[in-house]
This record gives sequence, C-alpha cells and structure tokens, in this order.
Amino acid sequence: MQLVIDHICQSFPAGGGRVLPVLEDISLTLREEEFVALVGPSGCGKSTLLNLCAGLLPPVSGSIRFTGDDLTAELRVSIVFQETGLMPWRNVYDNIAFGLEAGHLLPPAERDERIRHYIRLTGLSGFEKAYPHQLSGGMRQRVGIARALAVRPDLLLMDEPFSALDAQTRLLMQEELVSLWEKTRLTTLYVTHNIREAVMLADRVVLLSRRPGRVKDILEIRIPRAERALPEHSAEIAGLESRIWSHISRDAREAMTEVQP
Amino acid sequence: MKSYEVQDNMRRWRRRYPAYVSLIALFCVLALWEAVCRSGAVSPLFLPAPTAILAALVDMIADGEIGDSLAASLFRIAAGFAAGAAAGLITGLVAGTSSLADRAAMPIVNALYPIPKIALLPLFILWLGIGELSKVTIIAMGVFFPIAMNTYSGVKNVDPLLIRVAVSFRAGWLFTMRHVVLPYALPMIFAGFRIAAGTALLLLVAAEMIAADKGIGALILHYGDLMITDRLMAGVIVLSLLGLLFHLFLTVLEKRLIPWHRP
Repeated sequence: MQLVIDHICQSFPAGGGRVLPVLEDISLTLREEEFVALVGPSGCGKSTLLNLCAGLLPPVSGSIRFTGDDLTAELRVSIVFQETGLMPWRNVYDNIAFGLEAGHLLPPAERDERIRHYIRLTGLSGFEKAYPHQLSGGMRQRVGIARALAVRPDLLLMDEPFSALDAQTRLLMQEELVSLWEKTRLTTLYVTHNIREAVMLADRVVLLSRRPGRVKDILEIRIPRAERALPEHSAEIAGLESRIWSHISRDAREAMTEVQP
Repeated sequence: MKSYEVQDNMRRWRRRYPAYVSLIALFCVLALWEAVCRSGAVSPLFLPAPTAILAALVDMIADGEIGDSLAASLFRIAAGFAAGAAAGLITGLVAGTSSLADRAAMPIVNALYPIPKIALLPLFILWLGIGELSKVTIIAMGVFFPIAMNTYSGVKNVDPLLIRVAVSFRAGWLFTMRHVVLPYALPMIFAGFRIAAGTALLLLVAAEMIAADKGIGALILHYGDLMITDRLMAGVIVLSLLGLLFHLFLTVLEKRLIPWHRP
C-alpha cells in the first residue's frame, strides 16, 4: 500500500474576495512501512496537508489516494493530534476504546483484549481508570497514541504530537516512539517544526517552504533509527540538521516577524 | 547593624475563617430579630418574631395546610419544569447542530426570550382556562427559554477538535451526538437548569397569586390579605426551603452525571 499525494493545491479565502494560497503543487508518495517527516516553519501548511490526507478537508485541486494490489475496501487512517483531543469524560481505557466504538470495529468481546494490548504497549498499565485531567502531558499523549494504534490503521498521521510537551518529556517520548514504531512499522506521516525530532525519527524528511508551501527538498536518512542517538553518528546527524536549518532559517525568520492580517 | 525581616505581605488575601462562622452569624441575626420583637419596638403585625413564625409553621404543618398547598405547588412546578426542560433540550440540541434549524428557529427564540413570561398568563388563562394547565404552561414557557439557549450555546461551543477526532474515527452522526456533543455540552446545560429553576419558582408564585385557590403562592397572598403576618412568613420560609431543595437536587444530579467536571 502506498499513499500518493498528487499535485495538491490548497488555499483559503482571506476576506475581501482574496484567497490565501497555502499549499502549491505538492506531490509526494509514502511507501509501505515508511516514516516520513514533514518539516517547515509555521505557516507552511504542513498541518493542512495532514488534514487533507485524513479527509478532514477537501483539496482545491489535485488528489490524494491509496494505491496497491492488496487494498481492502475501507482503509483506516488514524490521527494523533497535538492537543491530544481526548474526551475529558472518558477514562484512559474508554478513551482508547473510542475509535473502536465509533467505527464499530470489533465485537465488544474482543475489544478488551485489543485495548489491553495497546495499554501495555504504550506503558499505561495501572492508569486505566485515570481521567485525562489527572495525567501529565506525556501520559495524555500516550493515550492519544494508543487510541490511534488500537484501530490498527493503514496510515498513521501525527500532527506535532509532542510539541506541547516540555523538552525532557519530549525526548523520552521520541525514544518511546522509535521503539513503538519498530514494533508496529506503520506507514506514518509526521508533521513537526522540530528539526532534530524529524532527523531522529524519519526515513525521509520533506522540507516545505513558507506560504505557499512547496516541497523544497527531500532528505533520505539511512542511519538505522535505533542507532541515531549513538555518538558515532552524531557528526552525520548534525550535518543533516544544519542542512535542514539552512533551508528553513530564512522562512522561519520571516514567519516570526510577520504581522497577522 | 539594623535588620528588617521580610513580612508576609499576602496575609490579608490568604486569611480563611472556618465554616462555623456562617452558623454563628445566622444565629446572631436571628437573636437580634427576636430581641427587637420582644422589646415591643415593632408591632408583631409588621414583623413577627422568628419563634412566632416557627410556631405558625408547626401549626400549619399539623393542620395539613402546608401539605395541601405544597402538593399543589409541587405538581405544577414538576409538570411545568419537565415539559419545558424536555422541549428546551430538544430545541437547543437540534438548533445547535442543524444549520437549517439554527437559521429558522433561533431568531424566533431570541425574539421571544425577553418577554416577561408572566405577562402571557392572562392570554393562557383565556386559551387554556383558569385550571392547572395555564399555570403549568406558563412555568414550562419560563423554563423552556433558558434551557434552550444554554443547550444551544453549549452545543455550539463543542471543541471542534473533538468533532474532528470523532470524524477521523468514522463516527456516525448519532454516535457523535451521544458520545461527544452531549457530554461536552452537559455542564452548560446544567447551568441552564439552574437558571430555569429560579424562573420556575418565580412564575409558580406569581401565577398562584394571580389565579389559584391552592398553592404556596395563594397561601401567602391569602394571609397577606388577612394581615396574619406570621403565617405569611411561614409560607415564605416554605418557598425558600423549596428553592434550596431544588438547588440541592440539581447539584446531586450534576455530580452524578458529570463526574469529570472540575470545579
């Protein structure tokens, strides 16, 4: 299975009859079991692209489709949101069950086993009865990830999942995500503005320019994910980071000084 | 060498008194009231003593007068509240989620909301007769609007992120209503219930004073006409207890239904 993003253009009405172009002619193919990170300064439309892939927004032009010989009728796409989007009235267990209930995915008898599996996998054992407001940001995002994984998606979309976390929690969660991903090997599109995060997690890093977003460059990262934190690769990692930063810094500076219309 | 210790500059804002202070204050007010009455400075016709009111209340309970009036009032307020709340809840939910209903119904609701509902009582009496139905209807009207408005805005304010979560998991319309919209709007709906409870009590008494021979409102008016002030005040106390009970009932219900809502 592949996800083909085919000449996508997107714009929003900006008032006064004008349109604000957000994405311009984006084409990108996600291969099976590939982890692609989308990096760009704020206002590059990376979250818009993710919403397009999830079918939460119709594209102005272009199309997004799944291709493959073994396609089933209904493909499942899960999203991990930056603000988690947990239901405050559901405890951890019931929040993870939400996707299964909403999509009527498993007979209720088999749900329990599935949910418990992902509770163990994401390190939430013992917190089943806790409500979201009782949990730390990192634990809350674990629930968000478990909820997304529990429906066994064909495509996992992650929209800056760790950017609301403090720096230390963020590092821990990145490491957890690496080992979790190695276990599930889900085709993943990961949106972030954090360069290091992209370099540590992705097979490919796609750089987007600022408004309208265009694909500026695509970097393949060949170092095995599990070894990227090792000292012998630090020079190569730093080289990749500075290459990305040289692409993005001017756009980021512009984004910073822009006055909102 | 001089030395100045750093003072606790926030102590004024931090001071907390224990809960029994409230009880002491209440007792002081009652004692003062009693003393003024006993001193003979005020005629008991205008201000009966607390003990006299209590005695009157006990008498009225014993001869069944309170029971009869309360039963009539409770029926009216329960029937009116239930009908108005159900209609308001449905209207708010539908108008909050359907753009068509929003456009069609909300301007009408907004236009009718500011009418003091008691002004419609003569009309309802004309339409429905002087019996129970006109009084129940006026209470239902008063309850309908705050609940419809609060439900509507609660539904309108549902976090769009949670809707997107539901849609991304392919939730249907009914599932989303039942498991996302309604729970999210519930605290706001309960705020509407509280406003409606006050309105209902007000309309109950007003309607009973205008057009009833039974009920707490009629009882108060009756003893006012006869200038039997202690019995009048006893009726007022029953009303205040009724309001408190209503409030307590809603609080318990809210705690049960919204365990996640932090104060």
